[in-house]
Formats: sequence, structure tokens, C-alpha cells
Amino acid sequence: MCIYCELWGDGMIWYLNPKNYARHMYTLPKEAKAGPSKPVGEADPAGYINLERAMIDAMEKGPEEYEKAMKFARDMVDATQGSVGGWMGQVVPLRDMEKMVEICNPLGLIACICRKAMLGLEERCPENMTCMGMGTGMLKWERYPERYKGGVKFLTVEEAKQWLRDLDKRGFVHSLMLFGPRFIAGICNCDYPICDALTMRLDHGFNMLKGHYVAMVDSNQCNGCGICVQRCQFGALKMNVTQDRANIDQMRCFGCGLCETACPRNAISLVERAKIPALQEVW
Amino acid sequence: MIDKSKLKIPKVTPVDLTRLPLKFPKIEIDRTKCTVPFWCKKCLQTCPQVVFQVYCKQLIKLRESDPREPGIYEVLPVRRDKCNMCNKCVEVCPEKAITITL
Repeated sequence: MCIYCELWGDGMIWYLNPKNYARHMYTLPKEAKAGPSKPVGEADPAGYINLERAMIDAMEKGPEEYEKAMKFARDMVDATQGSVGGWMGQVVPLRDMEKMVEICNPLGLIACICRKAMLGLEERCPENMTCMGMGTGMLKWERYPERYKGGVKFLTVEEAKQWLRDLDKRGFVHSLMLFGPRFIAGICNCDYPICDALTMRLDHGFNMLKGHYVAMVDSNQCNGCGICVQRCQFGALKMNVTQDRANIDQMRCFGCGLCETACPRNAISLVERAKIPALQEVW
Repeated sequence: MIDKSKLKIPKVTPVDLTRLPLKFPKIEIDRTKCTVPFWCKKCLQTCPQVVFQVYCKQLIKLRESDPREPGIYEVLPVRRDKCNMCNKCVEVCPEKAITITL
């Protein structure tokens, strides 16, 4: 079971538990207020960048220094954001995302903060509207004009589902945005290396948990067209040239489901991680 | 209060610790020359390894900043570990503010 299911799942997948979208979650829990107290979602951008820089500087110094920097980063995030072990997000496949938007209200499209930072894309550029803010926090967006420069476009549930499917078609990995876990603040659609969370996870093992599923190929159905191979962001999908079919390294699979939705022959299916004994604790 | 000692917190270290310490290129940005990075953003869009990040230095409540105003945004060479010293950012910078040394 994933740590957040254990803590807040109540027997189901924790992000499908309606309790975790409740209004009172928007303020940080008391035990998380050890750090500088700030409203959820208003993390200091320079602070996060400095954590990343400190980790890379520590790589130049040696293994002990690097481990110390990683521990500091995890503790810092736990103290200021209320996460556990530095885990601030999770990969979620499209099918669960569609269930999530039914639970939560309101849904507002917002600009991606990572694309702004990495590529200098302006918030007002329509290409940049790839994140969705969810829940009570979105009702206060006008208080932070600097963060929501591009404005917020509120969507209905059906529009939100269509928007998610369109982004899935383009090949974005869906993930949860957790500013202060327990309160699910929104949906991110990420790609390596532009998304900071994904890059941190793949390069430093920090920030984003794997999803609750793993992909599996039905080798009788697969005809080796290779469409799925282009979509994997995690390097888990390779072409098995000898047998002319796709091959998934399940240890690396994050369960984002992009290969599943792209397969024209429905040869790839998502299996629950809990049902595969060796993968149960691989997060 | 969350009791962390009872939880099995996953710990992942993709970095090969036995290979550390590594040496990365040093990227210096002259702040007196680079004043409006979010307006110019040539280095951000040129770098093939996405080394640079830009951020707003002052997040003021109820106020929106102008990217053309100098000194509000700052560009930082964050992911130095990925820099391959292709020097494309040095060539593209209109103010010649970037220097890369090993």
C-alpha cells in the first residue's frame, strides 16, 4: 500500500477518497506548521529552486554531503508542506483522473509554473494552460495575481474530462499536485525534463510517487507498431526487436497509462500494483 | 500527528553514490548585464539540457509584476549536472552575461 493510502485512504485509493478534498484541508495541519507558516500553494519559488541547487552542489562534494542534502530537502518539504518523506505528488492514470474531477469542485485551468520557469513561457500563452487547480483554493485565485497571471478558466466536469483526454492524446503524464498533502490541490500534466517534479523524481528520487498501476503487454495482441514506445516518459517501454513486440520494464513503469490509451489494438492493460507481489513496495 | 517511525516510507536514490563526487561545469551569470531574463528568455529556450530556470524574486500579494521591469525576475543555472558545455547559451545571450568554465 502506498504511504498516503495507509494514512488517508480509508480502505480505498487515497485520491479517490472524498474526505481528502474537504474544505478544512486547505489550511495546513497543525503538526506541519513547524516551518515558516504560509497558506497552502504559496511556497517560496526561490526556496524550492535553492533546494535543487543545493542537491546538485552536494553531488560535487561527495556521497555523504549528497545524502545530507537529500535528507535536508525531504525534511524541509515535510516541515513546510506537510508531506511525508518528501513525497509531494503521485502519477495517476487517465481513468482515475476522470473519477477525480467528478469528486472535486470547482475545477479551474491555470498556467503551469514549471513551463514558466524552465522555458520562460508566459502565463498568458494558451499553450501553457496545462494545469488544473481544484477545490476551495481556486476560489481565492484573484488574491495572487502574480501566480495566476494567465487568469483562471473554470470548467464543468464534462469539459474537464475532455481536456484531460486531449492532453493524454498529446502525451502528457498526469500527476497530482499536492501543496500540503492530504489536500489535493490540482492536476499537473507533465513531461520530462520540463516538469520539475518528474525531473526531480527521475534524477534524485524525490518528490513524486509512482502510480497505483503498472502496464502489462498482451504479447498475443501486440503487433509491434511501436506507437507506445514514443509515449513512455520513464524509459520503461522498449521495442523487443527479436520478437517484434513491445516490452515493458515493470520495475521502471510508473503506471501513467499513456501506453494503454495509445495502443490501437488494446494490447496494453493497466494492472493494479498491489496484485503483483514483487512490485507492491516499489514506489 | 503523523508517526513516521511506523510508516514504511519509500526511499529512492537514482544517483549512484559510489560515483560521487562528480565535477560539473560552473555557470556564472553577470547580474548587472542580465536584468530582464523573463522578457528575453533566449538562454531558457536555447539550452538543450534545460539547465536554466527563471523565477520571480518578489511575490507580492495583490500585485502583478511586469517582466520588462529590470530586477524582478532572476535566471539561475540550476541543473548544472546536465550541462554539456555546448556554449549555445553563451552565443545566444544578447548581453554576453553568461560564462561557463569547468
